Amino acid sequence: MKRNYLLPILQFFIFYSVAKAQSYVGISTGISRDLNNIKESFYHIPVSIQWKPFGAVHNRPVFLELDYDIPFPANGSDNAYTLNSSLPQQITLQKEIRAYVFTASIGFIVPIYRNKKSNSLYLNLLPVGICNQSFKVEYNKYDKANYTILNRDVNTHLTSLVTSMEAQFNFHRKFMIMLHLQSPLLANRGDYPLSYRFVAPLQFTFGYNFIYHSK
Amino acid sequence: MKTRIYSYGCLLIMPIIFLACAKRNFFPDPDNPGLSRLTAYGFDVATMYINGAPYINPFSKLNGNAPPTLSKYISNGSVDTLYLSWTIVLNDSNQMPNINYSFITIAIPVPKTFAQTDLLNWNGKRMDSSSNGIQINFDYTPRPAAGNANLYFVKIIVDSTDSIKNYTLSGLFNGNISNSILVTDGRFDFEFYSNDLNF
Repeated sequence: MKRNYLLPILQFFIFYSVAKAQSYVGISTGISRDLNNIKESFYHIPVSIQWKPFGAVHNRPVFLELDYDIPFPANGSDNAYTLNSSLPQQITLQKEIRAYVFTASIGFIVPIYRNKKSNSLYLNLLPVGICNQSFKVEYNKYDKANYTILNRDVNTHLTSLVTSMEAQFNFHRKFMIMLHLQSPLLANRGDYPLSYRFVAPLQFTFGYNFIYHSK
Repeated sequence: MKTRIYSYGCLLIMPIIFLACAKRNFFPDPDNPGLSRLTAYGFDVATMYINGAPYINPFSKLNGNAPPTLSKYISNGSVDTLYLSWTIVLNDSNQMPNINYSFITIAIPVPKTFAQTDLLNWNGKRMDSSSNGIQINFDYTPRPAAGNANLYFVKIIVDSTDSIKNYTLSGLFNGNISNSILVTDGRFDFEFYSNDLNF
C-alpha cells in the first residue's frame, strides 16, 4: 500500500531531477528523544536520508526524506496476580517497550542564511508524511501459566499521517547538522488505555551531503 | 414528496442510531485466546474458560455488555451470602459445545452486618475455595450445578466524588464443579453504582 503512494512521487522526482541543478543525497544520524511520552520517553538512533533532486533552487525547493528510528527500549512495570495459593498473590513484572518508527515525507526548503563559504541555514518544512509506528511490548520472566497482568500493555502497529519541520545547517555545503521535530500520528489509538502514546521524535542529527549531479 | 420526506427522515435517523450504538469493551488477551485482558477500568466484561471453551457476558449494540448483579441474600442462618452473577455466552463462533452454559454465580458468605464499606476492604483479598461456592446454571436445566471457587478481588476502586458512589471491581476466579465442569482463567472487570446495591 505504501509503495502505491510512493511510486508516482518517486517517478516525479526522477523525471524532473534530470539535467537540473545540483542534486544532493544527505545521510545523517544522531540521537532522538520522544516528546509525546512524558512518563517513559522513547529514545532512538535516527537514520535520515534526504534526497534533494534540485538542491535548494528557489523555483523547485522540494525534497524527499526517509527517516527510520532504531529504538532503545523504554522500561516500565506492571503488576500480575495469581489465584494459586502456593505462589505470592502479587508480583511486579518489568516490561520493555520498543517503538519502531519509519517515516516517508515530502518537504520544501526555505533558505534562511547563506555566506560566501557555502555555509547555509535552511528551514525544511515537511507538511505531509506517511509514518508507521510499531510498538513491541515484552514482559520479563512472565509466568503466563500462573499469573495474569492487570491493565497490561499490548503491541500496536499503525500507519497514518504526520507533519514535521527541521532546521538544517550545512558546513561548506557538504557537512550538515539538523534538528528535526515530528508530530505524533494523526490517528486514534483506540479505546484501550495503553501506558504509551504515539511517538513525536525530536531528532538531533549530523551527516554528509553527497552531491551527485552538478551544473 | 413523500419519498423526499422519507429520505430526509432516514438521513436524520441514521446518525442518531449510529450514535446510540454501544461499544463492545472486549479487548482480547494475547496469551489466552477468547478471553479478555484483566483490566480495572469498569468495562463490564467477564470471561473464562469452561472446560476449555471461552465464555463471555453477552453484548448488544443497544445496551452494551450485559451487566452483572451484586446482591446480598439475607438468610435465617448465622451468615448471609453475597451473590455476584452474570449471564454468559460462548465467545467462539467456531465451537459448538454440547452444553450451553448461560449463567454464572459466585456466592460469598458474608457477616450479617456486611455493608458497602466492607466491600472496599476486599481490595487485594484472595479468597480460597474453602469459603466460596461457585454455581453455574445450564440452559434447559432448572437445577444449577454447584461447586467450589477461588476468588481474588485484585482491585476495588471507588469514585466517591458524587453522592452516588461508583465501584469498579476487577478480579480473578476459577472453579470446580464435581470434577466435571472446570472453570479456569476467569477474570472480570465490573462497575456498580451504590444505589443499585441492596447492602
